Parts: sequence; structure tokens; C-alpha cells
Amino acid sequence: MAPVPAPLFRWPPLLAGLLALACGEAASPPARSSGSPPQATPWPAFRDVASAVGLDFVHLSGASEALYFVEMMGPGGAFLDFDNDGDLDIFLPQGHALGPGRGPALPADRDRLFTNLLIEKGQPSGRLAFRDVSEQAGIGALGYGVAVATGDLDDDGWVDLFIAQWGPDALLRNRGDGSFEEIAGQAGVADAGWGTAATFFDADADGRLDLGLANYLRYGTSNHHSCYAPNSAPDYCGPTVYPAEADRFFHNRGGRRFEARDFGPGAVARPGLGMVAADFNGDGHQDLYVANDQAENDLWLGRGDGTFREGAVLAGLAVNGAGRVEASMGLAVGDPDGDGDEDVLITNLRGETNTFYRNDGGGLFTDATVTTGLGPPSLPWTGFGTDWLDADGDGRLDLAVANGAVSIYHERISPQDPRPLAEPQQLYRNQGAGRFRDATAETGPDLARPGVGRGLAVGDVDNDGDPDLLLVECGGPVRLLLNQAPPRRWLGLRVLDGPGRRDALGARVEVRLASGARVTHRVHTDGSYASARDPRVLLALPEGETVAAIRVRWVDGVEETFPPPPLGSYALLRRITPRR
Amino acid sequence: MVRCSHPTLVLLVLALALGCTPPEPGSTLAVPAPNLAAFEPAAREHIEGEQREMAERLARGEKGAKLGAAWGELGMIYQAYELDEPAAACHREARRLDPVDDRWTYYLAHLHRKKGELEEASRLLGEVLAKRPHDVPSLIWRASLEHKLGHDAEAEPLLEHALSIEPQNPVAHFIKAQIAAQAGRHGEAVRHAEAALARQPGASSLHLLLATSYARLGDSAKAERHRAAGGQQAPAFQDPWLQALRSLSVGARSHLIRGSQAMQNGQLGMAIEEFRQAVAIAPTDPSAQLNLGAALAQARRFEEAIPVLEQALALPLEPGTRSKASFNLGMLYAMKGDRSRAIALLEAAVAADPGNAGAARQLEALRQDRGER
Repeated sequence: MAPVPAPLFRWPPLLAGLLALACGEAASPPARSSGSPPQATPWPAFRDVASAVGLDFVHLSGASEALYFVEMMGPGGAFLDFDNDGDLDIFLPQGHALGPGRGPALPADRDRLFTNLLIEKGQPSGRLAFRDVSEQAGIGALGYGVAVATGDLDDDGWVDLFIAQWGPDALLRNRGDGSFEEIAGQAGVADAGWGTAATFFDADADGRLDLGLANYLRYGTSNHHSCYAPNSAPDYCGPTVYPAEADRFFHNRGGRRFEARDFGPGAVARPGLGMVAADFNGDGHQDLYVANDQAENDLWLGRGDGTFREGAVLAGLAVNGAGRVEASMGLAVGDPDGDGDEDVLITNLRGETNTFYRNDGGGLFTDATVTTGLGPPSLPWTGFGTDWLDADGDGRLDLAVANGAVSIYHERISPQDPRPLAEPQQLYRNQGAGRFRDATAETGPDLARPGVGRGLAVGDVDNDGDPDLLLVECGGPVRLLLNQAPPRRWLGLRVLDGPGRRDALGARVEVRLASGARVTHRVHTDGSYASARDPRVLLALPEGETVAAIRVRWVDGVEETFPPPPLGSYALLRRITPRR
Repeated sequence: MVRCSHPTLVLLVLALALGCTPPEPGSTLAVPAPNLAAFEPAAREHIEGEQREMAERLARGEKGAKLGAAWGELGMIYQAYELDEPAAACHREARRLDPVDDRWTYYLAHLHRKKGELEEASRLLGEVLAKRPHDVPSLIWRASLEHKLGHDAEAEPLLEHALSIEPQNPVAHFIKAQIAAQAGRHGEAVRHAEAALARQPGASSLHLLLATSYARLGDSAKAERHRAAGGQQAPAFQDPWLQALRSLSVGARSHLIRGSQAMQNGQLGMAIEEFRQAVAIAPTDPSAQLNLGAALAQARRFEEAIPVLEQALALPLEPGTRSKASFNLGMLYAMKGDRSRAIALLEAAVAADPGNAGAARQLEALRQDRGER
């Protein structure tokens, strides 16, 4: 027996083995918890205001004693400003009853769009409140929704929505008048697989957003298996029971038409759950990283022309430092160590740690989990949604993780909860020097409260300059966790590219401070699990610090420098130099 | 052995002076009663039988080490069925009443490890090592915990000690390789990973670690070679106390689980034996038949696999399972050269699950081979 936790066993993983046979295919230690240094900034509480502000979404998982795999894997959620009024609205994909012949039935099973009333008719209302506008927006019951990606696919200045579903995916084009039309079929992106993550990104720097889609498993009620936990009780199956579904890359040809393209040699169908586009190797091109469940992760290194080469193993991102695949659900890609490149955090199964891959530069990553302190507190829980955020305004990126099991806690079965999966949610505080500690207990009861955490999105929903959290539970109510941090000095940027003024997904923003420090952020909405975040760049500034300049490197490599905008509000940075 | 519920020196001296032994401690812990409703009947009966036995011991007023051992053994049963909280309660009581037997501390350490309480798990293993300083499993597990806690300075001497006792221990080398790789000492990582691989060539996950390290060393040819050989079989070592837990659970599903684990470890003979026992207990459970058929086929014992899979297909099956079983049996017939039966079974596989792309592809290939379209 190796001192490496074995993945949770679920029966039956063996038939795949026969199938293959028959086919012949052929550093420095983290601070101990007792020795934490004193913190200069107070650690904020997060207060759940969802019901108080009219966010009354409850996810319909369709869970039953049949234990259908899909019922415990979603959903995510999205922050987006669909009406361009300057505040963040919220979109939440819905599930429905499951089983032979069961499907969505209006109106309860429709996806939900909530408009934020913080700003109404161009004027601040002074109150955070949401109104359900799903019906007037033309959003119906589109299927069994899992994940959301946001981006302006036609560069008309209005953010569109891609909804990855268990079944044909949906593409909601924003008409700009408060309504959407579903165009997945005509756009060529109505993929029928079980989509779990998607990202809009400009793979070939042609000014049009392409689409990456992570698919999970080829699973339906017709190939459903019964599975059992090691204690013999019925339980959910694991990913090795079903064949994997291939990921997709859709090249945007313009005219709201996409063309499906291969990733290239080395592409293997693997059960994808997380997907992020970023420049992982610093060569100036957009790459695509896919977190795969119990399989090697994929890193598709972009050549800048819409083609890719595979590079995960050699980059050190395919498996953890022990050479083992992990459950790999959610992805947080950012720069928590402040060295200007993209580091990667992957959330994993109970018994595995969440894994932190430090970017050593030049496209090489090291599993540095043990030096960060992020490992041990994550061992008891199954992580899904995750993202970096500066919760306390100390200038360092902290980490939020939505947890929820995928195997039933049989000891907790009760008539009220026949399939218990709830786990506590977590917030890790960045203590500097690459070290973190689990500071959830200091955030108050609302964030920590156990639930079946899946989607998680970061966004400044009340425009007060600190990041809030949208936490989406499987089969439960959504949480909107408002950051209660004291007022801070902050810089907010909305970075826009193209003639239509779309969010410049993939652009790198370097904020140069008067002290000489530089802080870099990638403009993005992707990552986490099945969710889409606030595209705006948000930066807290210490007392006495000022911004000297802002430099933006656009996706096509053009760089522009902007003078410092005023602090304490969101400024627009619009590209001036024409595209190459 | 004399035991005393108030083990202070004064009381002990007094008791000895009076020529009597102090009273042996009893238990105040009630027998934990976790919810077993979802367990298969054999497992439930097994656990309930052990619970009754423990309750009878308590009713008889048993005390001391004997009672402690009984608590520990009940804890092992719970642990074998992943009833971790009841197991931990039992092992704590066992430790209190039977402090001489280090197993209870060892098992409790592993329960804390599973909960992510690595510091407590390491502390408990430290207690075991204080009494058994050359116990290799305890050395390696504690080193693994200290490494995960980021305390490599504590982990390294434990591994050195383990390697001084068992110089080829693959897991000790494996952890040393991880420590070295994470510190950027890729040459050292390669040396230890190669040593582990030499000892355990089937530990395919070592190849992926080696691929990364060779890539960092600039040897892309070796990196690619190891990448191609990579898999998910981790290096392993003998841990008798943990292995004792694995044989405790009963019932067809337990045999299935143990068989599957054996199969994942490449131990096909053991897997076949476990699956045969599952079939013997539950002859109408398709899972048992299908896994036995799969293991036999993997062992290339095709003539034995075919009747087993045929029996499985005679049972009521979920469509997806029927599709896979038909596909597998069809491929076995195809390998035997019986294309007609193979095609019929592949057609059945596609009919049961039209999305079974593998079956559809093979069916098409067989038809083309036979001149059909």
C-alpha cells in the first residue's frame, strides 16, 4: 500500500479495460497554523444576501434514488452586464427532472436571468436588488444546463452567453434590447455532448472570439450503471465507468458562424471539467488548459493561428508532482505570487489535495502545493468552483473554493437528506511569501455553511471596489456573498477591444505603481467550475500608493499605455491602436 | 497485567502495599450505531453481529486490555466499511484501555489522515514510532504526512531511516523523488524515481514523474519515452496492518471491490478469485459475472470468459451494461474468428445503447471485412 490516497472506488471500472483489450488499441515549509503572522488588514466577513435582494434561484438537480450521474455535477453561474448599464447581472442555468422520458417543462425549469437594479436608467439607485427578467429576455427551458461562458461573439458590444448542457448546448445572442435569441444550431455550436466548461477566447488574434468547450462523459439514462461505494451502499459512479467525450474547438468565422476544428495530434477524449484560456508559456499566444477528471490534464499550446500543439506533460501540468492524475474539477488561473505569470490551482476530490502549480517561467510548472499550505485543509473536501480574489484588499490574491461531495456521506443519510453531499465552503488567505492558510472561520457563517458547492464566480456586484462571490449549489439555493470589508482604495478597469467595444478577453493589464511595483491581471471571465466571472480588473491599493501608468497588451501583441484613471470607480480603457 | 484507573504513583504504591490490584478500567462508550440502511444485507448483518457481540461484552462487565482489544477490533470492522467516525471512537477507546497494542494508534492515525488532519495523524504515528522505531510502514506514512505538510526537513530523516532498513523500498524512493522534484533537484528526483521503478516496474505513475523531471533536465527523448509509458499504478509497499483491514468486509460487493482493486493493481489471479467468490455469493448479480468475465478476458482466458459473459447476458441488465457486455462478448467471438456471432452481439450492443460508438465502429469494421455495407 502506497501512502498516496487512492481515488474513491466506484464500480464498475473494469469493462473499459476489456474494451481496450478487445479492440487491440493497443522549498520552504508553510507556516504552521499556530504560528501565523499578525495580519495588517482585517479579514472580511461575507454575508449571504441572496434572498434579501431577490435572488430566489433554487437549482433543480433532478436527484432521485436512481443516482443519475448528471444530477450531482452542476451547475455554475455567471456574472455579466448584459444590459451594459454598469452593474453585474446574474445568469443561472437550471436542471430538470431526470429519467426516461423526463425533460424540461416550463416555466420552473427555465434558466434564470436576474437584472441588477443597482444602476437603473443610467443612474445609481443606491440599492442592490435583483429582478427576474428571464421571461422578457426570452430565456426558456433550454435543457439540462451545466456551465456558462460569457463573451461578445459578434463584437456588437453586447455580451452573449454560451450554455454548456447535458445534451445540445445553447448559444444565447444578446440582441442589445434586453432580449436574447438562441442560435446554437445556426452558429454551429450545438454540441450534443455533456458540456461542463467553456471559454470564449481569440485563438488566432483575428479579433473574433473563438470558443473552447470541455466535454465530460458519454452518459445518458440509456447507458446508466448502478455503482456502489466501498462500504457496499449504492453511490454515484465515477468517471472511469463511462467513455469520455472529446472536447471541442470552434473557430469563429464571423457572421455568427463557427467552424469545428480539431485540436491537433495528441487529442484524446478525456473527461473534461474545467477550461481556461491564457498565455501559459508566455509566448504571446492564447493557450487552452483543460482539467480532466481522473485523467491527464490537457494543455493546448496555441501557435497564434488557431492551431495548437499538446504540451501538458512536458509543462508539468498533466499530473501532480507525484505523477498521479487527480479529479481536477475547477481551475483558478491567476498570479497569486505576483511574479507576472499565470499560476494554476486545481480543485480535486476528497482525499486528494487541491493542487497548486507554480509557473516557473518559460512554460514550466512545478507542483508547489506542499509549500503553499493549500494542501492539508483541502484534503477532507471535494472542491469544484474556485477563483483568486483579493478579499481583504491587502494587494495579495486570496483563494475561494466551493466544496461539495460526489460520493454520498452514508453516515448522514436521513429522511430529510437521503443523498447527503454537503461540505463546508472555504476561503484561504494569502499570507505572502507564497503561503496560505484556511481563514474560512473568520468570514462568518454564511460562506462556511455546508452545501453542495459547485459553481463559484467572483465579481464586484455592488460596485464598491471589493470582490463578492456568487456560489451555486447543486440542488440548493444560490448564495450571493457580499464582501463586508471596510472601504479600501481601489482601481477598477473595464478593458475593451474591437470596434464593438467588447471585453478584451485575454488582454494582459499591467498596473505600474508609483512605488515601482507592477501588478498584472488577465482580462477574463473563464475558469472556476462551470462559471463566468466579472470581466473587470479590480485592484486594491495600499495607503500612500498611487498608479503611475497602465499598460495593456492586447491579444494580437499590440501594447498601449494609459494614464492613471481616478480611483474608486470603474474606468473604461478602450483600445486605440488598430489591430495588426 | 495490573492496570489502574487512577494511575498516580501514590495510589499505585498504596494499592500494592495493601496487596490488591487496582480495578481495571471499563468503558463508558456506547456501541456506535451508524446508519446501515443502504448497505448490502451481508455487510449489514456482519456489522450488526459485531455490534451485538460488543454490547454483550459490555453487559458482562468486561474491562481492561481485553475489552480494549475488542473495541479496536470493532473499530477495524467499521474502518473496513468506511464508517470513519464510529471507527475513530472505537480506536480511541481501544487506545485508552489497551495502550500496549500499537495497532489502535496506527489505525486512528490513518483515520485522521483521511480527514485531512495531517498534524494529528503524524503525531500519532510518532507515538507508534516511539515504541517501534524501526517500523517501516510507520516511518513511510509519517514521512509522507510531513512532506504533505511541507516539512521536508522532518520527512527526509524518516525516509533515510526506512531506506537503511529496506534500501529498495519503492515508496521511500518515490517520496524522496517527489521532494527532490518539487525542490527543483531533478537529477536527484530521477535517481530516486528510477530506483523505485527498478524495484517495481509496474508502478507506471513513476514514468510521468520521470517524464517531467527528464524534461526539466533537457532530455526530451527520455521524457517522451517515459511519457508514453506513463500510467496510474502507484508504487506500493507491504503494510500488514492496513492490509488486515481489507479482508474484513464481507458480501458480494466487498469481493467485487477487492477484485477490482486487484485488477487495477495488475493482480489478475487475485481478481479472478475475488470475482468468483462474488459470483458464488450472488449468482444472479450481473456485476459479479461481468467483472469475472472481464478479468478472465484480461488474463487471456477467453474460453472461460465467454460462458461467464453469456450467463451475464441472460440476466436482467441496464441498457448501458447490456451494451457493454454484448460488445465485450462480441469482441471475444471476433477474436475467436466467429464473425457471425460477433456481429449479432455487436448489433445487440448498439441496439441497447445507440451511443456506443466503439461497438458501432467495430460492427462497421466487421461488416466491411465480410463484404457487407
